Amino acid sequence: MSHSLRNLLLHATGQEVLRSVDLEKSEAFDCIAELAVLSTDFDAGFLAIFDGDEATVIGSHGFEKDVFTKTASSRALNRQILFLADMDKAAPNSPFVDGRLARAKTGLSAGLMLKDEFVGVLAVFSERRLATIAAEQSQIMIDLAEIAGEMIRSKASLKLLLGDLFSLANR
Amino acid sequence: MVLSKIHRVLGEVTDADELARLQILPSPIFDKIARLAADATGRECARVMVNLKDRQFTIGIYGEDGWSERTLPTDQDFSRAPKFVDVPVGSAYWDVVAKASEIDGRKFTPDRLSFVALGPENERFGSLIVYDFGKTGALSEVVQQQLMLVAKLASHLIQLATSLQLMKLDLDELLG
Repeated sequence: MSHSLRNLLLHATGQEVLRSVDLEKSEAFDCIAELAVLSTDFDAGFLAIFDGDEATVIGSHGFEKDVFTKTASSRALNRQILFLADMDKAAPNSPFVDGRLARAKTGLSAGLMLKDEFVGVLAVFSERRLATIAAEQSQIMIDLAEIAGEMIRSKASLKLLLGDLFSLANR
Repeated sequence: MVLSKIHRVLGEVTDADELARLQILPSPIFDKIARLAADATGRECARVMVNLKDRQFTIGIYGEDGWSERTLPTDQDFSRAPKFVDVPVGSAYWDVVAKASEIDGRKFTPDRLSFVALGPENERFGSLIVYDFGKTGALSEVVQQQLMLVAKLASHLIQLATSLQLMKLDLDELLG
């Protein structure tokens, strides 16, 4: 096994794994966002990864922004699952509430974990006010976030292996 | 590694040991995919399978669908079925499933099944099947769309996992 891959599997932090793969928006992640929206019956959703102060959208459905500040989704940070029934009240200054990014009334998010570290978020939101959500909907969000994490891990490993192969070929 | 070769590579695999070398094994992540499919369709059971040379091999399962074994015989072959099928008992694609249940020797009496082929046309490498035991009827268009999305996710995951393992094998060979 290559040194870089071993490092990735054993020593790299979640954020280092993310940086190694240099993710871009992809159909697979759009698919996760769309499934999250359809399964929860919300209006729009996105999958974003954090790096420094920024959140970069790698998959979306009904949401157009590519990058926003990490603080915009600060309530969702480091939480496995978060349901905000009244976003006007819970986060009145959030750009997801005041129209800068959306005019959401209700939000549901699941943390994206890599190597036991929260590195992003899968979120759906709605302009309708919803009092509750079913436990199944939360579980679907958690499952989809976990699948996204698995995809990122696989992509990172694949990229490192490709790099190793090119290095070998150039020797 | 060309992704479109995956169906050929899997199609050469004849037993679980070979499959294990590719590390395409039953896994919790594919169980989650199966659960997503069952949830999306409101049905009790779902399976994610890959097509090997002489059998179909289940890599993800949700619910108890009546089959105790994780492998299915070759006559349970959906390779000629349309990309998407949602059919009741007695339909053209039903007999192969019924036969498989007889071979397994267990009672298997779903009312309906939905099948989605995984992979591009002519290069299918697996399937996602959802079983209805509650007579809930045909899937609506919206639910079909959700099931197709779940199938797309399953395809992406299988492609990623397979590519990675194939590259690892190539690398090991190169390194001697």
